[in-house]
Amino acid sequence: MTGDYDVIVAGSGFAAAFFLHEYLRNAEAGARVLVLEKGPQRMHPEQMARPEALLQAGERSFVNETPDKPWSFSIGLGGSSNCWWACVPRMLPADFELRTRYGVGRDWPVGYDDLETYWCEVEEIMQVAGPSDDTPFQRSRPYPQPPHRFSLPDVRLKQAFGDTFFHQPAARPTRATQEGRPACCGSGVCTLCPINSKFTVLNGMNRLFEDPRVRTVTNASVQRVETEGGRATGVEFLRDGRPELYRGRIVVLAANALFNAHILLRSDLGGPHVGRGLVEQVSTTAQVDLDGLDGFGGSTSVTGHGYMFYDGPHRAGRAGALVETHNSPELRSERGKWRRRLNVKLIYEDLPRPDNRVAIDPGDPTRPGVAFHGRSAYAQRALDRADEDLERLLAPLPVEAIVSRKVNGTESHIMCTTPMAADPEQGVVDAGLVHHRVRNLLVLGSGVFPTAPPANPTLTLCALSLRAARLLGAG
Amino acid sequence: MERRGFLKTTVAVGLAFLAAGLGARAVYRALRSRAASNAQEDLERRLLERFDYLTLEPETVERFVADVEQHRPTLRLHPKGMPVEERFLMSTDFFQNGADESRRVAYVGFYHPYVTFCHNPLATRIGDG
Repeated sequence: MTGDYDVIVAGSGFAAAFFLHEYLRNAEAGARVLVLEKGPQRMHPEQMARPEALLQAGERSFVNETPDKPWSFSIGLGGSSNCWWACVPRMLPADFELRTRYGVGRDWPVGYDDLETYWCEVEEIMQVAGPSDDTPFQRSRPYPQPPHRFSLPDVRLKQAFGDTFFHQPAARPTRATQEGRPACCGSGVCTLCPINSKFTVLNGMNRLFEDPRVRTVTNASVQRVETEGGRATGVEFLRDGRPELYRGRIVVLAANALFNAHILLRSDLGGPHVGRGLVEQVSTTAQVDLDGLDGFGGSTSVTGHGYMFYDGPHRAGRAGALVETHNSPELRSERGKWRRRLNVKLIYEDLPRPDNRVAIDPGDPTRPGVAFHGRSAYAQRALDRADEDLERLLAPLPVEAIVSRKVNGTESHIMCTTPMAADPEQGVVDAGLVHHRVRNLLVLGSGVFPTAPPANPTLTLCALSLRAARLLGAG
Repeated sequence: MERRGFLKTTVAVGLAFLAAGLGARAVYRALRSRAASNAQEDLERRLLERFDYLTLEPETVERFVADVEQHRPTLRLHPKGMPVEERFLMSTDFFQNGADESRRVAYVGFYHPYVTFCHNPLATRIGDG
């Protein structure tokens, strides 16, 4: 084993970046940090030159045993920050207490108040544009940037739904940022932003990888955490197909929920919860023809968030849902009615099922094998009444027809494969994201979520990572 | 056959094949060019018929069709694709003028988010009217 690092981080996406941001703020000048990234470094110009490559490497990086259920992510420096759509709602207080309030799922070992200050810090770094005065979230600080402009249908929905319909908080700025990110101009192709406006780790936090204390190795696929006497001593990774071993005093897994679970399994750090309960939200998108009302007119790709189906007594029996209204340009091909079109998405939470899992692929142990056998009955009951929800949502609008409604293949989120719990028998990591059995090993990312709420997970996983680094420094 | 004669024959045959190949390539390029030209003419005709109710500035359709040809390799990168008739309208000032069919329509630029940045006439940016 070579090297002698204070911290070894597997991964370079959201979780890794926000952990490093906090860790490096307090680390000594002589601290030694090693970042191991599975994919290559491709900055924005290179991504623009070959946009089709953004998701291809991710697709090849695991074995999908149930290919009808895709999982979408990007590997490479910056991780899935390179391909996300920058939707950054917080969770609601009830999301942390599903079991206590509604008798379903699990409670989280942290609550809304534990994360509030960290959400604020993440929102500041991302320069989130959101509605400070009219928001479903209790906030101690305003959003860093003002909200985007509603679309024309959004204005009507706001009039009708008042305190359950809001501007979507977005890491797509309304004003140019100090780091040089231009304001979002509503191109509607956020997977790869043509002008590099949406926040990514590379355009917002690349300084971390240029820090003299940090050594970054790309095309390095972490395979195992080495342990001795119940302590992590380093990691083994593959580079050009050859194994290498590096020593580290603290090991941090931030390689997304598929790979984190895979690494733990390969490290003989499995258990009843590792890799089990793989889940993400299930969503349905409706294409709506409007009668006499133009769609669009908003200033970004996703403009509105509806909370009318999110929380309430119904969650005792079926999933809650977050509504998105979309402003990406998709015309209606009819003379005189070109703009009379609205796309809306209902995003339903789901509960983990133990048969949905990540394992070590028997044919290629260097890759995870992923199997998803179906959503929970809890989510399905909600999805079964999506038409009713849609009718209620669209009631304030002049609707000519619902042209289509389809269930989407993926939300591009991956959750719950290494859940956190206060009780070591119930989870893999504690509330500070420290592994219950190996106390110098941290596991970050949305894999630590005990449940998959309707809200997009990115803001919360970043806040948890920031918090984990702060607690590590404090303790 | 003497060696010199064999060499001459071999070279001659080789040159003949080369000429045939070059000729075949030239013919292929000519046929492709003609097909592309036909396709462009077809597209122009289709757009003019489809939007015969609009008053188009001169060369609006021609410029668009030329840009379609120029940017054809990038069309597959536009997520979800877009019918060419819609892309044509998005490439003009039609929507900037409120989709008013009584106004003359002028070509603005090829609508493709990865070719002409920030040209989405359906979005209203903060700071716009």
